[in-house]
Amino acid sequence: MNSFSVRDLHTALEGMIARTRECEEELNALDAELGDGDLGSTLVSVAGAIEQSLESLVDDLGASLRQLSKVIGGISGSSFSSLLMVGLSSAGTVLHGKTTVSTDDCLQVWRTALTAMLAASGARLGDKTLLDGMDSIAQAPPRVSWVDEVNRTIELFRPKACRAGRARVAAERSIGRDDPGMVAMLRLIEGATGQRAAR
Amino acid sequence: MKKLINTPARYVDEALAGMLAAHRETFAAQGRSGRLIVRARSKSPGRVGLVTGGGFGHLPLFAGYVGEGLLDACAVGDVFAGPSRDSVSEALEAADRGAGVLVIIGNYGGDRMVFTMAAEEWRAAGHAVEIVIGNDDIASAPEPERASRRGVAGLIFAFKVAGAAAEVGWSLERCRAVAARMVERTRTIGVALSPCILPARGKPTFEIAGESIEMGMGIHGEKGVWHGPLKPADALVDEMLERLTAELPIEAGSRVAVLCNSLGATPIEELYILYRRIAEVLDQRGVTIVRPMVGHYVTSMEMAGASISLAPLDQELEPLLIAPTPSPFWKST
Repeated sequence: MNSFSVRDLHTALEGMIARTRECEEELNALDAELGDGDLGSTLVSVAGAIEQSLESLVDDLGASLRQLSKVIGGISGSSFSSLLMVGLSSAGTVLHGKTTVSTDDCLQVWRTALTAMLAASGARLGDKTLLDGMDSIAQAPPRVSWVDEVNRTIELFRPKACRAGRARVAAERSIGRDDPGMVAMLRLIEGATGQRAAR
Repeated sequence: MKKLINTPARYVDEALAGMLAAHRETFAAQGRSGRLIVRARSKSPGRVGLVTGGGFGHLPLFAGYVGEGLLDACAVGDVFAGPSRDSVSEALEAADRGAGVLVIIGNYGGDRMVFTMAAEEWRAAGHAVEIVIGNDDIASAPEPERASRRGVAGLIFAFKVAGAAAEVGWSLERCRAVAARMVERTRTIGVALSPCILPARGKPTFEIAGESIEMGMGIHGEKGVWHGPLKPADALVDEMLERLTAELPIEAGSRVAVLCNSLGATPIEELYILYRRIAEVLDQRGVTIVRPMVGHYVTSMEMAGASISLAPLDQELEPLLIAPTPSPFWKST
């Protein structure tokens, strides 16, 4: 695939919705080790709202991504949801009026979204958050597997302590454990690409 | 888990429903989710509206400080998770009385993102809105990194001065400035003895082993500055005051606001033991306490422990802080 259209966005979203539902309990359990154990359930409720909005997406990638941001903003105020909201809104602004984007440009849009998410959250790279998973993709050479990159980053950060978000409350306990947000990001990318991580 | 609840899923909504039923003269619920808490009687048109919001589980913060002389609207989220952007947008609309809206929130990543996005949309639609972010928790980052500190109990001082100012017709810019100055002058530190339990999880998200305590722990259990054996109350107060006053221009003759706050389970008796020492130390320094506040103001469900907030006042801040309000939760002794 050399370009990405709204039709591809539909397909990716359907895959992410299905994968989120498959992984609800896994994400809840991971989150319960460091937080309140509702990450999977939160994302399933977000996925349900997005599923209901799929038909309303227009043939404009920018407008569609901003619409997805609004849908998330209507249902959840969790930190993970808020980050998604910021990233989608930022990417939507960059892609305003475009019906397709090249896969190479996708990476640039990804970087723009990551920059916006870092600025809005106040988190830093290295804090062991989903943003580190996103950064591994932003820094990777073109056409490598995004699933493999995020999976490798999860393993890289496993021995480190969380320094941002609610998991920082359990910073010592987070050592040796996977960051729930990073794993959720991995599951979403698995859903979007159809590839499964070797883990 | 031993909690007086029906089901974890209804924890927030049933607690809010009870608060509204008990204080019909103060609060009303609005919004698509029913989690937008507004005043029972709206403020007069032409006044600045005040909005806050955040995760649930800290009552009376945040929703309890809606009321005459305080806030106009509060967007309530889930337990320890902030409100949705739509809920915040509804709060901005509900609070707007034609003179702009001031948002005062604590410094938490999710809340900051959601409120900022909603405020930007509100501004783009032609409305005036400003945001002030509370960051009074001195244990959450060193002083040079004040901007990254969390907002905790001292946030309510900013609610009060801005609320009193808005009530008598100050402009949005003056309300913003006075709230920001109150935040600038407010410092808080807490000490936790035991954790709280999130209803959906059923067990503590962190542990404080045996007889130990955590100095500087945040209201969600964020790590503090030290973890060690319990000490006598006076020794704890001395350390907390030492840390607070190291950052504040408090000297003989100063007039200060003091909040001695229970984190939830700590009873009023122990708070008075703490306050006794606070008053003693400040009196020895020649400092006057203006309207001491001792009680449950910003909590973390059943977490045991207390926080102390200090804020040196001036001729502008003091009258606003002590201006009367019929709020059931703003009590000064």
